[in-house]
Amino acid sequence: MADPSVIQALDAIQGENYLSIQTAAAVLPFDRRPAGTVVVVREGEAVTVLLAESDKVDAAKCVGVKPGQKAELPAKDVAALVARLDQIPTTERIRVGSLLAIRIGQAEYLKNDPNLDLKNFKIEVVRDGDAVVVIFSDKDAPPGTRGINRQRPSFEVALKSTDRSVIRANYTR
Amino acid sequence: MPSGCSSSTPSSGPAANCPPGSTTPCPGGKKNGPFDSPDDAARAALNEANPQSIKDNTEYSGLIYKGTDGKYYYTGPAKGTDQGANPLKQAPAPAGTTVVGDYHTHGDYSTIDPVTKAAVRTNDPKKDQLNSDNFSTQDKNDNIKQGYPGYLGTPSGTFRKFDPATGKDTTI
Repeated sequence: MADPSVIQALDAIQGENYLSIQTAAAVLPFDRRPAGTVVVVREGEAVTVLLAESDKVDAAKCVGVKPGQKAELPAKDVAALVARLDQIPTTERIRVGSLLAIRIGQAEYLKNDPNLDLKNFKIEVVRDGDAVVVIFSDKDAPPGTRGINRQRPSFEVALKSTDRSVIRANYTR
Repeated sequence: MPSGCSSSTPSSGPAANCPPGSTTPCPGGKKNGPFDSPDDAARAALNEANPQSIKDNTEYSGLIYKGTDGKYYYTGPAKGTDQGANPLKQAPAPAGTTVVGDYHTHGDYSTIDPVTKAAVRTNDPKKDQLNSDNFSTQDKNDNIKQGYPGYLGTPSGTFRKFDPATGKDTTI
């Protein structure tokens, strides 16, 4: 059993990038969705989503998709992007397990607010004792902000770490 | 408001802070220190802020700091806005002092209006959509990032402390 007093940051991603991953993954059949790490690469207006089989992004075991396009990127384009990945500052990485938790959290938030627009939020996944908690908060809020933000109210969803069932889902202040 | 003390009712603007080591109450005001411990300062701050917070159903916040005299003080309470409460911006500690904690309040038990997103008072813990008697995980995560304890005033009247050094969430 996990120490109930421990809070540990697991992953964080901008809502806009999470939405890009959703759009990109929809292009892929399930057997073409690697279960390791997802990297969102932003270069100006261009967005590419790389889905890798492990924590290490290996071009040979990686699929690339540009959100909005209907096919995977050619392998040579993926290899070229992976080769210069470390030089691109505007990337975000997240584990596929965290994406699953966020997806459950998103569904809970949508029950409360069908007009939820995640591009205005940052999303954090933390372990809080025996739970995995998905936190949606205003992406522009300065650090240390508490309380209700009427434009972008924070929302938390706590999941059992064992089976991802929902323990609680609530707005926060 | 005279400088060097906090007002007898929580302020809506930037907090005026007692100079570290100040021992004289200001006319019409309420001293914000000195206290012997951060917990004592937080308890005094929450005693000042929480009743008004419940009455207004609005968050108030402030900081706990160590003065140059080695004693403890609080800033604020500063009233939150529709963007939330931010003690670092709304109730900063005086220059030369050390921030050792922050506090905020949760107002009354509430639901969220589905259209305006405003907190709507229910005054009933069974009809509370905000887990108001507890720290949010976001609160605790923020205190871990800041590296100092957070204190919370709740609608039940209970005061809580989350200490990132131990991970413990306790009542004070």
